[in-house]
Amino acid sequence: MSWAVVEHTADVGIEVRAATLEALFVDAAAGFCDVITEVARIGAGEERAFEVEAAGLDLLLVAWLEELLFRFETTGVLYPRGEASVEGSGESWSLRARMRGERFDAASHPLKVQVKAVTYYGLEVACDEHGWRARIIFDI
Amino acid sequence: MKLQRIDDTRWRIPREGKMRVEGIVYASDAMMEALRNDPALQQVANVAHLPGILRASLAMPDIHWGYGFPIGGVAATDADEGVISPGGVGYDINCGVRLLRTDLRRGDFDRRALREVVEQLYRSIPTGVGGGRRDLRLSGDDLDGVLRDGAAWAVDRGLGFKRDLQALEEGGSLPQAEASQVSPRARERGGSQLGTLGSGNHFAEVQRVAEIYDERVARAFGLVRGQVTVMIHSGSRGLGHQVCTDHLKGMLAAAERHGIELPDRQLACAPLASPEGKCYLAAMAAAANFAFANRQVMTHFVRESFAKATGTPVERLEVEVVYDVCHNIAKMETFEVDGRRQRACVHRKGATRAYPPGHAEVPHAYREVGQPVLIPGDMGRYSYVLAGTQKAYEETFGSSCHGAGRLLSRGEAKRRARGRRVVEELAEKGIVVMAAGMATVAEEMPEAYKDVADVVDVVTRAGIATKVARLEPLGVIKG
Repeated sequence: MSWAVVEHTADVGIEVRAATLEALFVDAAAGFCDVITEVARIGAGEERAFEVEAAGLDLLLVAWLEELLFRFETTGVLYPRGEASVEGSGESWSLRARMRGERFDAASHPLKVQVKAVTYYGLEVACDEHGWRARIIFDI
Repeated sequence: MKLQRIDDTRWRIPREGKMRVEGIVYASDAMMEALRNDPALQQVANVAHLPGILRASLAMPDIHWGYGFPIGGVAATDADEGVISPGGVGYDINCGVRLLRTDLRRGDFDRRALREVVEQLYRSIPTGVGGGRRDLRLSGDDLDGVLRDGAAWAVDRGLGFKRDLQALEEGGSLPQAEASQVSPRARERGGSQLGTLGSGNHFAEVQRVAEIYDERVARAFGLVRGQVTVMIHSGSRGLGHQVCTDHLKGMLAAAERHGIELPDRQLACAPLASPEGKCYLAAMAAAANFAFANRQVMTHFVRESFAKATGTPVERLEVEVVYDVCHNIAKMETFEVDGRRQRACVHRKGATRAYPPGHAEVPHAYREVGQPVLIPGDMGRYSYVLAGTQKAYEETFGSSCHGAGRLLSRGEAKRRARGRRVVEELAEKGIVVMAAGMATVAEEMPEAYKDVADVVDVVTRAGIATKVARLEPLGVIKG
């Protein structure tokens, strides 16, 4: 687990750290699910392939989490685990992922908070000597 | 952050760098002390960079740290030369508050009867995660109708009365709405959520009128001491969230194309006259109409709940709409100040319209006293009904505050609630709370919010609203 919740007065965010860019995107998915419910309680019975594109690496992270939010709201499934590959440069980036998760069930998944959207506010995706890190704020 | 005191309730952030206007924040000394190092003030300065912004970037005393705009922010942009910014509306387009009055008195309810009403509300109004009631499934054509006609769609379907529409901001329908500007994804995400409360700070609350400050205005609003009221706080649900998400992407590109330099990407905007600006305005209006319809459907559910709990048929119940305000919205409005007519796009991000007595947009029944301004507080203390003023019209583009504003982050609230039983604590005060998630109750506990009375004190001293009544909670349902 390499994400932490970021405090924001009205909303909530996550800070993610990972050794690779691929792990950064998968861990961001786990962090996103953990904002909504306890991620450890989410099973892995559902599997789904994803493809997302964006005009920047940070925008790709927003697009990725937006896609997970959209799937959650339309199918009820949260996908915290899986594998991803990220390709691109400059203004053209894409992500392919195969994720596993479970349908949200209020009886076994205590709702922490419902996410309305993934914001661009304070958005950061960067690489330093310790690896990759990202910071993202959700509207809740 | 440089700050200059203007008077007892106003502070100036002087224009510097690429700010096009100054910032003006309404706050008491104590509030400003707490705000001084808060990112919300920088956000007021950031909003002042928007092209075509008129007079000042304003913030109401419930200002707090948002994304892009501060929550509590108001910015009017020139209709011809200005921009529209989805960040000035937020993701929850037309999140707002509706107040219903009943002919019941607090004395009509013992503890058991109150619990019965709250349980009935909890059964009737879907909360938390998931879609709406099975008896309200919308076809594609239905959804088009909701997006085009707003609250009137629900009334036409028997979910309310024609007279309800007269007591809603904009009559419960923005005419600029174009259903075709709402993406298939937004339809898919939100189409099943009509008539649902959501989670977070959204609620439906049974209240009593605890105090009347202005008898004449209260009488016009139909409010008397001891009366039972119901307040609904909700918005456009997943549909609105997705509309904002979709259009922000286009706005990021548009801002670059139009050479608009902004200090925060979340302020992405486009000229009102540009294709991107027009498309967003049309889509936002459609999402706003969804929110008006959402609160209208829930009004019907409230009536249904009271009917079941009291054994009185809906037609014989007196549950009437006092008013319905938007507090996340951008609208084209016309102002006449010093004999000059000005058309502007007023962004209210966590702020409420507060039109004065005599304004043609104020419902006929309230024309002499001004528009009702509904200010929810927290679930343990109180909420307020205020009335709009001429000074608000002249100083703040007819705007006032929208609520208490958070004091604690959600994490901090949860930490402080650990080991406590917030629901039982509220029950001891006579307040029945039912919620889909217990975490929500902890995050939303009264101490997590500022005292809304302080916010109301500043707006009334500043003259941008007047106090009419205080409402105290009896029972609350939350997501």
